[in-house]
Amino acid sequence: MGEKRLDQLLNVADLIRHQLISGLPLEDNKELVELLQHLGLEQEVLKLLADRENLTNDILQAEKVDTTAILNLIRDNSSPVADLPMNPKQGSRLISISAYRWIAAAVFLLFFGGLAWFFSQTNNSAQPKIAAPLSQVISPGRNRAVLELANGEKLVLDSLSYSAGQNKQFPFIDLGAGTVSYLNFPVNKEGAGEIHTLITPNGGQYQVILPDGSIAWLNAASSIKFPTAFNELQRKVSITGEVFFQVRKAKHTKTGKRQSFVVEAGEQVVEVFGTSFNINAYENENAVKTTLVEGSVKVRSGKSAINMNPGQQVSFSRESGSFDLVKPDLDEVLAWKTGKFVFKDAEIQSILRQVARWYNLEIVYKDDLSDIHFSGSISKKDQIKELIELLELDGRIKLTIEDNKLLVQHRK
Amino acid sequence: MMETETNSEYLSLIKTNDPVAWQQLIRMYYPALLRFANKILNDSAAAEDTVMEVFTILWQQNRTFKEVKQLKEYLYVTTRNKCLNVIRSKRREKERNQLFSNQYLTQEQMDAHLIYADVLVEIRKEIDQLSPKQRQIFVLAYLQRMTNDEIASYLQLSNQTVRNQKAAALSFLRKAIRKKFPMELTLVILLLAL
Repeated sequence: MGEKRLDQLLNVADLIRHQLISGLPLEDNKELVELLQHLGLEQEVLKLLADRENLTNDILQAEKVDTTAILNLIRDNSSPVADLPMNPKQGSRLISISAYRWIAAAVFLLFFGGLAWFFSQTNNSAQPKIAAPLSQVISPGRNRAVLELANGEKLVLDSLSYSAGQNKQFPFIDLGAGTVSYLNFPVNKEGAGEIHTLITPNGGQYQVILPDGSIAWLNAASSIKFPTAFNELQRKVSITGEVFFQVRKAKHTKTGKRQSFVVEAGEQVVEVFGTSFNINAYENENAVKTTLVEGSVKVRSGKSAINMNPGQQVSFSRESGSFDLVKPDLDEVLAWKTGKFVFKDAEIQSILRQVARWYNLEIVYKDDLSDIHFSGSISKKDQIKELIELLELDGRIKLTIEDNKLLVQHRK
Repeated sequence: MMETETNSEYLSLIKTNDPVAWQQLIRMYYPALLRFANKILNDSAAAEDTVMEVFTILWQQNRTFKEVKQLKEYLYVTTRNKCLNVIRSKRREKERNQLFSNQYLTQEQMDAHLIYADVLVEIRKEIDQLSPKQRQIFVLAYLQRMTNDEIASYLQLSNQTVRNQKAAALSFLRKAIRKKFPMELTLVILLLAL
């Protein structure tokens, strides 16, 4: 092996490492590709690295190596008598890397992102492609949201990167673990507070503890607008998307009236006193559905109003403006809150709308599938792959992921 | 990383057979060289003997290297040569028995495995930058594909601690990188968004 060739081989390894660290496909690095071609190693190397399962196993294997045992063997092999005395000072200097900490940090960060992503991809050794571009990464949602303050400032809340107390203005708001709290929010002199808005993106969920201690859980692609302090007469919030409320029992005001809790969802208004209920008001769903778990609720729109009992669901049609009272399956309605998808004889379109919001995908129908229904349950933490497997199981439909699109068709 | 600065110091520690420096050398190179040798020899016991021999020679010779790259080259070349020797003697044996068949790698395949081995080494260096707990969580989460809950019960930590470990590291690093690499921030945010 010539020295020059060896040098080039090590250079290739370095370039590969660099691509892995930054999470980019190997093919993107021109220098790397040219060098591989020049060495006549393109196919061999790409084939080797395409097998992620193997690479993962090799790294795991390496973690298990007992260095002390091997060192002892080497010593035994070499000289059973003479051992050089250990110099602890030298040793500790070697492993003390504090001066290089920031370099390590930078490398780790890139590595963590890039490599973590690399390994979280499913193994697909048959494909020559080493790594998909960033836009193709599809992962389930997690705790994340944006909190918009009264002055328009936006705080990004994310379970992956946000630590509690980061915000200087309101260090106490974020409790971590996907919760913001306004329980101890300082009330300003005017009484009613400023308006804040919590917004979850596709693939996000979050909860807010409102100033009165009521809790609102936001599903993906939802929002809630609320004051940082409620006024004496009314606790009023407005929402989009899907929110589950657990409302604290009303206080009696000084005038003897009960302080109601009012939720606006578009044209529909829900008025409650102390209760748990779910509102699904996604604009791409054909009705606003309010489901009562306990307590009592009055749903209004314009002049018409309807009272609900626990276990009932009011469906407010956007088209006709009329109410419909049904008894839904509560498990199915509230599944999102418990980290599951639960479908009971649900239309495929309705299922895929939920999937689209949670995995941040666009659904493209290649066939008309309106008469297909499914029943089943799966954890929202699962990768999309597993959900696809479940839906394809009975052989009626075929789902394909292309970039950020989920293509749906009949299985022929 | 630390190589550039502590280069000569590290190499002199290797030369004087300092146990800590040697443990690190073994951590980095033993698994990679073992895999490399095993691919060439297609015989794991022989591969183990060969790599052990390479390290033993280095230990005995107390060689001087000018830079870490030289040490690295030495390890790969010696391993490869030793492996080829083993193959040659095996072939002679087989020729005598008239059972010779060419089951060994081409030059290109060997080179590809050398590259692969070195990628393994470099990845190990990155992993070693993490704190022990972060490393453990990294390995479990991304290599063994365990969920937060599974990691929590496996390490007997709370689910929150597992998340915190990930989040704390990331937030510390984000601050560190913001100071040093404002230009890289977009990329970092992209990665964090994953």
